[in-house]
This record gives sequence, C-alpha cells and structure tokens, in this order.
Amino acid sequence: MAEDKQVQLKGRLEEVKELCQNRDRRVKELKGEGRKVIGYFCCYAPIEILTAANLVPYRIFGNIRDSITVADTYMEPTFCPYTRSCFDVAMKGGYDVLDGYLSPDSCDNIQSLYRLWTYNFKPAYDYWLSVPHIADPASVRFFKGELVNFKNSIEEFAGSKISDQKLNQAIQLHNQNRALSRALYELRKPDPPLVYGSEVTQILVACMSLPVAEANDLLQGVIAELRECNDGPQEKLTRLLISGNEIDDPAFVNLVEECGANVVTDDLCIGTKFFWHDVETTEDPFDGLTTRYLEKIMCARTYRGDVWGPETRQANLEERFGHVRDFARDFNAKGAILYVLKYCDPQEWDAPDFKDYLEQAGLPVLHIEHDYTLGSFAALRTRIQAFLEMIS
Amino acid sequence: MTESTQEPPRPGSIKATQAAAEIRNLRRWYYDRVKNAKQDNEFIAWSMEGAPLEIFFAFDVLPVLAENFAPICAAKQVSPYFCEKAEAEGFSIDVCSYQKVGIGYAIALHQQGDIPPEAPYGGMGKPDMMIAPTHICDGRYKYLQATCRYVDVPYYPYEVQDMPYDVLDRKDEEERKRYVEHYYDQLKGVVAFLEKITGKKYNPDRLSETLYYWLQAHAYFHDAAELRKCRPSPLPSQDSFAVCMPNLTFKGTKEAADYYKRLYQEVKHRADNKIGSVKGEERYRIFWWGLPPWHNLAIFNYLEDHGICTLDNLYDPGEIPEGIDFSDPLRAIADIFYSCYIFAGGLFKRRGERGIINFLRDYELDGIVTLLTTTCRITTGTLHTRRVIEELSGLPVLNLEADMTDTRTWSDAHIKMRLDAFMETVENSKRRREQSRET
Repeated sequence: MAEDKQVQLKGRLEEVKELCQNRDRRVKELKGEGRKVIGYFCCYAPIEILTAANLVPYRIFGNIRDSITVADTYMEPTFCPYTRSCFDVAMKGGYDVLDGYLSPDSCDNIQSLYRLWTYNFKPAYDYWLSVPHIADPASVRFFKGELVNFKNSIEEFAGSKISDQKLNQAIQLHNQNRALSRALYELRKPDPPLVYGSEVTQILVACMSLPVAEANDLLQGVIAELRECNDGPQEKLTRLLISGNEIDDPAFVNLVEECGANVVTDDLCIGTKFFWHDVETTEDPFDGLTTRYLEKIMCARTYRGDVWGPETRQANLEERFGHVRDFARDFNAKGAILYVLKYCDPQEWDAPDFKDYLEQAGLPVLHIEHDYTLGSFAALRTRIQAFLEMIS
Repeated sequence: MTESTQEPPRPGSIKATQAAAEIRNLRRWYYDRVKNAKQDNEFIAWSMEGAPLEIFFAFDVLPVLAENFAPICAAKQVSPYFCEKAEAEGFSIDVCSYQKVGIGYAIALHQQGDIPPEAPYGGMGKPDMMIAPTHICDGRYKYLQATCRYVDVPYYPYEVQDMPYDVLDRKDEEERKRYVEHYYDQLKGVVAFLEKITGKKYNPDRLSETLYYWLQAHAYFHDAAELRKCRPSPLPSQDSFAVCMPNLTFKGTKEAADYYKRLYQEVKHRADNKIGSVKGEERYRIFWWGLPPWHNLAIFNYLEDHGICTLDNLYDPGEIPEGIDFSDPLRAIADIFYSCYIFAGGLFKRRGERGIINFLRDYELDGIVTLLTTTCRITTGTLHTRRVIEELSGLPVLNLEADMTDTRTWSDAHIKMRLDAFMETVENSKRRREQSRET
C-alpha cells in the first residue's frame, strides 16, 4: 500500500480528504460570515461552552509533514515535538484564522506554550483553564467553579449570555457527535474492518475542523458510505490497538498498516479519549460537564484510583489501564502499540506499568517513542515489522 | 557500580562562606536522622520540593526528596548508576534526572532488599509513605506513582493548581481566594492522610511552631540573597546553590531557621567589609540562569579564577507577603502559596522577562549563562524568554547544554572552551556599554 493509497472515494469520504488537506477552508468561510473561531488544545477543552456561545471550536494540530524551522528559535529541542510543531504551524500563519485561544492545563509543555502563544500572537481572547489532576471531591467542586468562570468569560467575549437551555442544546449536539464517532468505530469490529485506521484518523481530524452540527452531518454521510462501499481492508491481518498521545495525521497509522496490520481501535488523544464518554444529562449542566471532563477522560496526566486506598496495586493498575484491555477485547485486538511522544512525562512514567499490565492480560505491547517526524519512520518500520512477526 | 558508571574523581567546589561549607555537616545530620528514623519513632515520607514540609514535621515525619538526593548523587558522581537502573527498567532517558535517580534508588532498594551501598549518606531510607504534590511539573506525582512498582507503601497524591504567572496576576482577589480555598482543602487531605499513617492527631499549635521556623528561615535566606547586590558580592553561586538545601529539604525545623540566621549574619559581615569570593578585582558578574550542574559546581570557581563572580536567583524564596492571617496555620500556608507564587508558573513571575531585567540591573550583571537542562521540563520552554531578555538587556547570552544531575551529559573541556570564548564576548560587551555611556 503506498502512502497515498488509491482508495476509491465517493462523496463524503472525498470531502474528508479534502478537509484534511485544507483544514481551515470551512472556518475561513464561517469567519467571513461573521462567526468567531476559537482554537483549542486537547481533550480537556469544554467545547460545548464554545458551541453554546455560537463560537466555532477549532482543534489545534501540528504538521508532521513539515520540518520545524521557525519554532526552533523559540523552543528548545528538548521540548515536546508536538507542541513545537503546533507553534511552528502558527508562526507560519497556519492559525491566523483564530480569534481566540483556549488552553486547558493539560501538561507542562502546554503551560509553556501558553505563554509563548499569548506573547507572540496576542489573541483577542485567551483563557487558561485550570484542570485538576485528581478527581477528589474538593477538586470536582473547584473544577465546576472553573467551568462556570470560563462560561462567564466566553459570554463577555461573545457578547451574549449562555442560558442553560443553550448549553444543554450544545451538549446534545456534542453527545451526538460522540455517538456517531462510536458508531464509526463499530465499523472496525468486523474482520477485516470496513475502514482503514488511517482513514479513521482523517475522518476524526476533518470533524475537528468543522462546527459540530456540520461534523455530525459529515459523520453520518461517511458512516453510510463506508457501510455500502467495500473499499476498506480486504485481508484479515493482525489486529492492533494504538494507545498514547496525539496522532493527528494518518502517516503513522498508515505505516503500521503497511507493515501488515489492521489498526482496529485506539486509546488516543484524537480518538477514543476525545469522544468515548458522553456528558450525562444533569439538572445543572455544569455537573455533567464537570464529571465528564475531569473523571471520564482517560489521560495519563490525571491520577486514577482511590487516593485513600486500601486498594491494591493491581486495583490501581486496573483503574488506569483496564479500559485499554476492554477496548482490545471488544475490538478483538491481538496486540497493542504504545505510542509516546518524546518528552511526554505522564506517558513515559506510565509506560512500564502499562506494558506489564497489558502483557499480563495476554496482550503483547510494543512501546514506541516518537519525535513527531516522518524521518524516523524507517527505524520504526523495522520495529513494527519485528513486533508483528513476533505476535502473528 | 558498573564500569560504565565509574567517573574519575572530580574536585568539589571551593565555597566562599563558612555557611556553605557547613552544609556538608547539615546534610549528614539530616540523612543520619533519616537512617535512624525508626528507632527515633519518626516516619519517612518520600515527597517533592514545594510540598508543605512544615506539616510533615508537625507529625514527626521526615521528608526525603529526590530533588535533594539526586544532586548529592551528582556531586558524588554516582548519579549514572541510579539513572541506568531506571533506564534498564524501561523508563525513558528523557525523564527528569532527579526523578530518575529517585526511582533508580527505589529499584536498587527493591532488588537488593536493603539500602544500596552506592547510595551516599545512607540513601533515601525506606519510606513509610509517599506524598506527591501535582504542581511544578507532571513528573513529580507520576514518578512517585511509578515508584509503587518497587516500594509497597501508601501513596497519596494531592492537587496544587499551577498556572502561568500572568494568569494569576489577572485574577481578582475573589478568584485568588478560590485557589487558596482549594489548596486549603487539599492540605486538609494531606493532614488526614498523615493522621491515618502516623496514628497521631493534627496539632495546630505544633504546625504554628513549624510554620514560624519556616518563615524565619525564609526571611533570613531572602535577606542574605538581597546582599548579593553588594560589590564584591558576598555570596557567589557555588555557595547560594548549596545553601538552598535546608529551605527545600527540612524547612519548618529550628535547625533550618538557625542555619539561615547564621548565613545572614555571615553574609552581612562580608558585605559590610567588602569580602568577595574572587581573588583580586571582581571584573565581571555573570547571571547563571536556571539550574546548576550539581555534579560540577566547581565551574563557578573556574569563572572566579578569571575574575568573574556568578550570581543566580533560583532559590531565593522572595519576600513574605503581608496581611496573612496565621490564626489557622493550615490556611495560612495556602494563602502564602498563592501570594508568593510558589508554583512553576510563579517561578517565572520573578524570573520572567521583567523580573529578570530588574535582577540584571539591580545586581549589575554583565552577561547571562543558561544551562539548558536536558531533562527538566520546567526550565525548558524558556528559550523564547532568553531571546527577549537578550534583546531588552543588550547583554550577551551563552546557552550551555547539559543535565543538572546526570554526569554522562557533561563535557568539562567543551563547557570550559565555550565559557572561555564567552568571557571575551562579555569583556567586549562591557567595554562597548561603558564607551556608549561616556559618549
């Protein structure tokens, strides 16, 4: 399979590919119509609040296909390569379309990037969202207050109030998006799956480049086409799960599939971490938002487990990684790749525990550390091929 | 120790002050106390800098910090041994070397069943608990969580909200208080955990006492740091980095408070009598920005041999805020935290662009050397700030790359060669500035 495989594309799938190549096309159109666009990092951004204010959430990604040039004079090489790439894209004008910038407290690198971004671009609006690392009762209360503050800040920027009704409507739209994403993933359960893993990456990236209602419409069309046309994988290859950080370009998943695997599910920042859990309907919508964003996103930066014990170590590992084992079981994955971006401390510290836990559960794991460049793919190819040989 | 980790002995740094030389004895005193904790009915908690150690001491719990043990290992040239232990277990070479040494020690303890003989001063002891704050950097609570693979003791993480300093600056008092209240809630959790593990009840009077000692130490340390403005400077970097140890490792004790009083008295005497550390004239003053190479503080002596005094601001605790209500010592700790900006983003309040420019001016500095510490997430991401400082100050900047703890990353010859070239740059720069002032 070549990098730009010749997949027979029809309609909505073609639209996906076009959007991935020209991500900001639609938001530029919307801006021309008077809408405001807010860039955001990471799964912890409560984008329902943006949608409720009629703002357009636009996820910030890097560009693995472009060498980092400008960012090197602002950020050391020993800095998360993903955030460096995001900043590099921005310095080259890739995010000039943004009216504002929302940064949750995802990690140390994002915190450093916040100062760089606001200093250099001076956005008309920016918000630092404090996100606790622990979901104890006091932190839950604190985070709910933080979300309310964020809502107040957005109201001031947008010049309009966000009623509970508007917020609930936005929550329903985003929940629908999540349900549709899960429906997309159901197409990966057959053997072989009905869709390539690399295509799924493109579909998710495309959806994060649109307002949620349009993304939902796109997803519905894509799912219908995938069910009808038979352009997905034709062979029953080794089924793999990928867990880890941001994979916002199909290149890496494509590499894995070229080595002779079908990537059937994930535990990634633009994958299941982003959409697997809905916001529950609660009398106060901020309760539902608080629970979902603080307790349901399975990111290594958030502590999992009972801080009081007496849970055993095994119980703690179950809290942290049990969902990955369940994904592997539900999607019949036979192995896992742990994809970790260099300088990502939360993932790096978790890696040995992650590997041990899953291997004890019968799932072999390949731990890959990536510098977010295409140049390192040759070495990765060898390792992935060896891994597939071992587990096949 | 394997052959790969054996390093030729490197001479230690020559300290200018008696107080800095005294740190060796204090270090031994404290680690002996850790070694004898059980027989003295004291507990050992592995924790991290920035944790409210005054609360620990109120429960007769001895904190042991990887951020202190790792520099000791670096100075003794044994840090690679523990780093390699960690890397052999699958931990990345890129994670913080402080934490890598910490977990390397835990791995060796687990493998050998006892304190590894390679550990200086009897090592970090055998912990009764681990208490992990979430601020300053992500590795701190994650590394201790990973240590649970090797050490089977209760692990308690607690939340401390961190943020870029200008974010807190923009919040009003009501918002600041919301952060204070949240931290206060978290400290109550720490207290409850300590009660559970030690079997002792929280005693506010005891905490008031340890807090009082901490504030005394804080005030004396800051006052001593301020005297470095004098010319010649009475407290150069090889001393100021060394003397941070009590305030970071056993703050809240009378020993730490008494120590910083002695430090202040000695530094005041040196300042009043114009006693510096450079033999002969103090030709130039260099700002050392960021962490030092703990394995080679003698690099500051090398600069002194060339008439250069090095100054830093990393561990100066700053002023104590006014208006703190001490009637509830636990709440006071939370209030001080969000007044002094004792979090990673807050470090840059005094160390951000404006803070650095003021420091360069007030301390009459002629150049800036930064150590791009390869495994420290907090001190990376500042390249941009350095560029801005260079533009605003007009002072030359030298960026060196090495790790603060891992001796494998340091090349003495290469570093000295770059410093030699930089000294010429500093000389030329100062001459040009003086000429432009005259004209």
